[in-house]
Amino acid sequence: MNAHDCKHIQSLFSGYIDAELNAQQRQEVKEHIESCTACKKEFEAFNLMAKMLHSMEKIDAPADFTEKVNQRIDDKKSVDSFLKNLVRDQRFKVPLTISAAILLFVCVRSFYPEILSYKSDQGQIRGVKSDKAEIPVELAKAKLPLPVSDIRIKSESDVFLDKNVPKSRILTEQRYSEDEKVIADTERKLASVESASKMQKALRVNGYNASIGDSEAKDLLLDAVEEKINAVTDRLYILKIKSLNIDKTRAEIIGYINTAGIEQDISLADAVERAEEKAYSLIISITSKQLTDLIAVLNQQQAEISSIPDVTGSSGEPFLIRIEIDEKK
Amino acid sequence: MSYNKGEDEILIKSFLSGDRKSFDAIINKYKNLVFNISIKMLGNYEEALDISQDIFIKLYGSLKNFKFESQFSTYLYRITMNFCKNRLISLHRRRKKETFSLDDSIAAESGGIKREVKSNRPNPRQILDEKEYKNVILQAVNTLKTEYKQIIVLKDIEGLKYEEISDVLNIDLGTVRSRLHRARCSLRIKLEGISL
Repeated sequence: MNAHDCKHIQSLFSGYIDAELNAQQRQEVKEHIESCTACKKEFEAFNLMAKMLHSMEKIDAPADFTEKVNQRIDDKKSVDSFLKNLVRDQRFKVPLTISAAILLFVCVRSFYPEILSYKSDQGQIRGVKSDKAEIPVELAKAKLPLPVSDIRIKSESDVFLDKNVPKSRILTEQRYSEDEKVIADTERKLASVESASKMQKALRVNGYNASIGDSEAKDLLLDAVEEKINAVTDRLYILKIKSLNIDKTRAEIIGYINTAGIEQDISLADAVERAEEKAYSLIISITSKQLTDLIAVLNQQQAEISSIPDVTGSSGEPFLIRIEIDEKK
Repeated sequence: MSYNKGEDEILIKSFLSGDRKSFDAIINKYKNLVFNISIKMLGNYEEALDISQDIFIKLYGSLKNFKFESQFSTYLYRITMNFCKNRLISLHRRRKKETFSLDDSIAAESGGIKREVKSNRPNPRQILDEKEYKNVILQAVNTLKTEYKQIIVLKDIEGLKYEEISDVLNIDLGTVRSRLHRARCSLRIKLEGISL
């Protein structure tokens, strides 16, 4: 009995206890463990572990579980209907539209800083310099405001040419929208952290103890940035797989012809084909570059936040605003 | 593990046509399943309770999208696994900030003090009774990486078939087979020297 045999037999244990082996393999395992003490011992341990796992005690959910869930559903419903009414109310229509526009601007600005900094000719994003010289000129020409969102996939089956790519890493519409949710969530957190920071600064200079500490605010901010980095890194990984098929209508493809620098006097079919190729590689390269840059900016942001010292005293110029404090304070 | 498909369909359709009581029936039928998976996945009673509620709240809003193409239990397993996976990621991030390196010495007036910690690993060659043994196994499962934990919980604890696991985790059968083998080996190594 050599070590190679033992290793091979042990690799069959899992299938053996699940009755997943064919007759020949089962016989092989049986015969081996009858004559090899070490493997027999290992098999018994393996089997015992599986048996114990299978007979784990179940724990009952608390008696008031259903009631608690219903209560939370009702709470959520009342908030939702309040928001719905707010949207329907004519008096709020204009202010809400303006707020939505501002929110949209903030989202775009924080995730695609290069585009806005190129157009507005400003190199400052949240206090971090972005190198506008490196922004590809094609980007502005191509008018691809949000290249990533241009990638739309209908179903998993028609997406990947490369069979080796694991299914779980394929960018589907569903995963894409989940991604978007992560980003929206991060934005919301960032916004609340920023206002919490301002609030606590105002409280501190006014001589009150803030409910949220500097280090806590910093931690939350770092957390938000880290989440953002993770979200962006995931997308970059997906792009790097480079097997994406871009689902584009013909009209849209032709729209790329000028920007991709293809001569006009070729047949439409040829143009479409070549434009598709160009558009594809353009989007991949620009988006990869954008995302890589964005990760660099975020890393720098993270480093800057980390380097903020924790201030506990109330120094500096008094803040100009006064906050009305709850009477209970 | 199989659940009555016809009954689920009746309950879901009745709920979607406005009968809230049917949703209560769905919760009552599946709360222990969701709760037990969550406990095994998260290793913490309070977190498991919280996430189980979150899962049913999510279900309340998303049942209208259920297409009856697969078993409802498979759909619920999938939601539960996704919620637990996401919670593990955020718990991991939270904990990462709270932990320190064992190589960092504790600052004291007389200089640094070396940290001394008790190993969490079970003592070698321990013989335990069945209850203790199961506890040690659960602790070991809790230290597995998420994808191993998922497959051990689904196969070895919940008793799902390979095909069902493939549906729940959205991986092919070959991957189920190989991942399960790797997960069990990894767990075996953690339990080395412990027996009943």
